[in-house]
Amino acid sequence: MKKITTFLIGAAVALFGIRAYADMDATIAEKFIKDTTAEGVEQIINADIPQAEKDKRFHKLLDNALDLDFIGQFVLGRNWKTANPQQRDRFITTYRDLNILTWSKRFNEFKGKNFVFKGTTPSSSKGQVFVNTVVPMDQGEPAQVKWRVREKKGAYKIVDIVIEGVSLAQASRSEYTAFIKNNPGGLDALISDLKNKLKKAQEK
Amino acid sequence: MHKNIKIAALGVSFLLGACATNIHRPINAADPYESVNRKIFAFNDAVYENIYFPIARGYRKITNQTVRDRVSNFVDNIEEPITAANYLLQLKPKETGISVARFAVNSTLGLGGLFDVATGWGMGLERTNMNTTLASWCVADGPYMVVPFVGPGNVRSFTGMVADTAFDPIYWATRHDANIHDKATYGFAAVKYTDKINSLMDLYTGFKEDSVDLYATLRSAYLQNQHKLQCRFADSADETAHFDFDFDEDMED
Repeated sequence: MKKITTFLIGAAVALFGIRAYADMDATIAEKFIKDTTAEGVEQIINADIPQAEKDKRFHKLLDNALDLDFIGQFVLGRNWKTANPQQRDRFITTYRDLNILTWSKRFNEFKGKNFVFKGTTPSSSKGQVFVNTVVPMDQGEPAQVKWRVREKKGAYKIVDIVIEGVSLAQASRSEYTAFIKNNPGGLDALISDLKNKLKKAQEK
Repeated sequence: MHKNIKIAALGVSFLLGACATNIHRPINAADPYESVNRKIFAFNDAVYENIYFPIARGYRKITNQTVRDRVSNFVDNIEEPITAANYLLQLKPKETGISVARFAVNSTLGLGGLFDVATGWGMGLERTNMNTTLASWCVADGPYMVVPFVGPGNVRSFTGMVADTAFDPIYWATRHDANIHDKATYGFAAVKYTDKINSLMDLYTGFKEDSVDLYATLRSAYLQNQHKLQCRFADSADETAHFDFDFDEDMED
């Protein structure tokens, strides 16, 4: 009887342990960021290929690595709840396309730089972890860059980048909330403004 | 200078009244003077575009990257004693020692700070200031403010900015001769702000291009940056990582 109890407790601990492991593995999250940044730096930024090919590769990389549907909902804050399905759809589509372009530009600023990995920090949000990196700069202090990674159904995606303590998702959320609050056109005006920015960015 | 110290002392005594473990206003309540701040922000934007940035573009035209790097190093080195003094006030002996050593090495072997020799020796640049010192002693931040010609800040950061002038080596080196003091102070200020504007211009322009509400974007960036400052000397210091906010689709504002 004692043996059976010990076995059951052991099995429960093992199962619980495996479940916790499967829920969010910081090592996998770190490897995912290492692979993503390495691909971005080696095969795109530093690669000797035409700009059009770089844009194409960036688009594919960011589309796979970023959870832009999730980020899009977060940055819209309470306005997401009041938006109708058409508005949600138009916002997410525009937000995705615009962000892939702007994040490509941001990534390009790391040309010639290396990401030094400094472990991970747990998050209070379920299924999320921060992967810590430092980027030595040519001049001055190194830049602290934290990647917020979310696991969902075994897939790991980036949901935020925190540069020098500034969360890009939080900054966008504040920006969009302020825009909608101060603009009589509300969410529709925001979508239209983002579409104009996207058009301008594509023309460049 | 004495006037500056008096202003800083007044500011500190005001801030000490607001001492608390939680030194940060919630981000959504940090800007009670938003309508005035937005007007000053629009004014500053015009100043940047019409005065500061043309100067920075002119500076880029007449210098190459090597010269600009030397100037940045020189400015950083002159400001190193401010960092050293603040690390001391934050009770961080290791960082204080590194900062003092950096100043000694770069002022001599680095030819007056033109070359950052110390970084090559494993003593990298790590800046701090009175704003961080006050935060570490649990002084509250105060409301968000945009100041004409200067930019965003809060009561604590502007007080810190004035107080930091007490550690300015140019003041201590030239205080006996008013004529030299004025020339050195204004001359260094011109070099320093040209260098700072040059380093921030592209970032600002990039934000302006991407943002639908530049004021809100920069306010968020500033406030988040301030939230990373930790209150270290309190009975129950706040250990929560500032960047670990609740990140869910259905999170409330």
